[in-house]
Amino acid sequence: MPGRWKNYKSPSFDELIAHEGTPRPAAKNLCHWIDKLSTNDIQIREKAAKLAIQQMGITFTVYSDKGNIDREWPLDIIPRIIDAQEWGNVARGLKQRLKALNLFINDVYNDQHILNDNIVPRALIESSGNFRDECRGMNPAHHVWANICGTDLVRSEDGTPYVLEDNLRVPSGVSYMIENREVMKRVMPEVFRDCHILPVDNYTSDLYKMLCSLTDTPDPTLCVLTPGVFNSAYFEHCFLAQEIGAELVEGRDLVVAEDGFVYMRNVGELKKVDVIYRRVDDEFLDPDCFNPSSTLGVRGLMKAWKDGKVAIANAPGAGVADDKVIYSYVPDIIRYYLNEEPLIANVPTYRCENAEEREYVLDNLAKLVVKPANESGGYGMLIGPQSSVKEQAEMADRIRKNPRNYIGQPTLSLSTVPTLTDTEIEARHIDLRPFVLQGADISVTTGGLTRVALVKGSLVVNSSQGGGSKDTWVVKTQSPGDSVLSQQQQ
Amino acid sequence: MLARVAENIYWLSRYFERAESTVRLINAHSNLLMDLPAIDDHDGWMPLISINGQDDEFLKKYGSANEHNVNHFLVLDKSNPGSLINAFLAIQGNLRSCRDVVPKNVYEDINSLCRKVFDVSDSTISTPSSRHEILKGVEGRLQAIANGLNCNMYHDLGYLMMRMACYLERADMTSRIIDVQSTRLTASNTPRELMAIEAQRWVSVLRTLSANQMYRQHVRRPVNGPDTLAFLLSNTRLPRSYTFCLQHLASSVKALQRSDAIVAAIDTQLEKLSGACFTTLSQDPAGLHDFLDELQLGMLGVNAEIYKTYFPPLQDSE
Repeated sequence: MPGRWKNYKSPSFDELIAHEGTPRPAAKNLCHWIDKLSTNDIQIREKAAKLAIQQMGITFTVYSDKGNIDREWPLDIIPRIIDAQEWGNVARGLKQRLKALNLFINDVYNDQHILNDNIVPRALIESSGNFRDECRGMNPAHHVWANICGTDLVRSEDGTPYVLEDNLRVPSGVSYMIENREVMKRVMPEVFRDCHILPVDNYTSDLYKMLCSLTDTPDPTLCVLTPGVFNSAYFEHCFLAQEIGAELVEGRDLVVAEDGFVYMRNVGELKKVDVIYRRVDDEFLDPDCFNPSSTLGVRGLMKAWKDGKVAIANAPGAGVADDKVIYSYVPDIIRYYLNEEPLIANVPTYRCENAEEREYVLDNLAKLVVKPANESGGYGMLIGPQSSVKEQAEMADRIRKNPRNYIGQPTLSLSTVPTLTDTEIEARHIDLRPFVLQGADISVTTGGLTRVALVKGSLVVNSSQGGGSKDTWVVKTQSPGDSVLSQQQQ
Repeated sequence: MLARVAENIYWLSRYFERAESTVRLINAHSNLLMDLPAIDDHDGWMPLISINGQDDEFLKKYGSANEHNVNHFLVLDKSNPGSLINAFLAIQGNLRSCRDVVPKNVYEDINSLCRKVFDVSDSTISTPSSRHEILKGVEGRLQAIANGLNCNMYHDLGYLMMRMACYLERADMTSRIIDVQSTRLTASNTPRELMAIEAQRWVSVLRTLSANQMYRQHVRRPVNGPDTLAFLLSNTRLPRSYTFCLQHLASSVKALQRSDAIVAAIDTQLEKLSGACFTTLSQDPAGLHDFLDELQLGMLGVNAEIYKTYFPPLQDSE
């Protein structure tokens, strides 16, 4: 159906189509190829992708009244494309940010210079639900607490990228990033020949290296600690364990022995564990230390960690920087520790604890996005322009009761990518979650997981709330091979 | 390997074998009934229920047996713990917990087979031809999966657990099939009728265990009771013979550590077999039933030893 892009309209910045149906340079080959397909051809590919996802068992688990259900991972087959040169700048910004955040976490749990210097208010830390007093004085390997970070990036109408959130507790999604690529290779192999798409699967070897760098033990035993088969991200836990050659364990499979080390209950023997990549939240890690009724954790694990008998990634307590109020201080944190200007900007943020900013938020609820400081998965937030008066009043109530726990941000019109709908291709809003790893070294995924709001006009991209995903292509446009290729095509 | 994961693999493998036996049993039995035109519906189909000792629960629910309700009970009824659909739900559940050790390509095969079985409808299984086709397909795919695991899985502890579970389940199923097909099917018939279908029922036992062709090639006598029993219980080359299964079970077990008690329990089973007189047993349905019952109890003992040794209940660290 040639000329498909002529009628394509985005309410915002579009990642693939620049203006009047002209593809951006990195998306040129793809858009050209799609234009040659009939609507039927596209639907055939879409069906093939669904089938591949079913067969490969790429699922996420949804909690419901009737028990937990596996849902097939939703993938839209039109990829999101990022120019490799632009990606280089973003990746530098992400590394800068995680470095600073880790210096911050380590400082907060040790000397607290940044609090003493009044850059970040002490009261804010002490009132944070994610500050763990038990972690004071700890110094994990390389002084790094958040070894795995999922940073949510968005792009505004003028094309400027912003950091929306730093997920420093147990961020998920990276397995879907890798599996999306596998599916795309199955359903549109011929496109890969024409586009210079950088691979994404180096993440798992980076993850393996990073985890090994957390211990002095040569050839260490790694574990992925999962809350169990009913967790929404259980698929990912399995996937990562498989990819990095780790054992997938539940809390009941581990035991802290008398010598203080952590062991797995193997058939007929106990085996020492050196590094735990935990996908269990802090409060469930160790019933001795945190939630005493937790059956997901391991009794004595915190002591083993503090005694240096086992490494845990992310370190307990790392979530202190994963607080949406702390988030608003990250630019200052970067300047304080690195003496650099932030390479990626924050979304302007109003802190409700500040009387003046709170008044602004309360007066502008219909325009702003309001988020609780410690939730993830898009829960408990209010999107002003899409909310009812009643919802706004309820939110105002909650803000007044606990101002420390809320922030407000302007509603960004997130950028869009062409997306398949029942009938045609239309613009849908997206974000991007790249993953950053820091141990002895620091690395960033090539692109990340693109999440898309499948409902027209919606800004909610979370898969638990009707969002989908897209493969993310970081594409080289400047390579000599590419220019030869495009000349041949013309 | 984690004890919990080993246990999941063990059960995954038992349910694979159980599912395969179930489909083979239904197909072979449907085939036998076509050769027994005189038998009434209830007597013809009831043995498939008796095989797992489920007479009471079945009759309570359905009153009497017929082609439709027996097949529904065996394939689709979720209230029947031994149904095919429950075997596949158990496969899916166990697979979840040991997904990381199953090769990815085999995982895909298992996953699509589960989906296929969950899609089977009541109308598919109530028509003999479509039932046969779908069950035959399931059997073939189960065998492809077994082969995929054998060729792709790392042959370590998990693999040994899988083999153990498979042979244990298979031996058990062989004894149940002989028991029901040879003793109970004809229990209500008169001696005259019994004589007439004597050969047929042994052929049916052989077919159910996919052993008919091998019997003809290697026993090379007309099908009869003593030879069939000997072939199915003590032959050492027939993959579904009881002794073959026990020997292979023992060789997997011996490759593991601390397996003495399990090996001893298997040896006791082998002794029972070597002391049996198949000529006598073939003419004494009650005696044969008791003998097979004893074998089944012995197998429960083997399973209990495996559990005691390798999957002890979790204790807290104290």
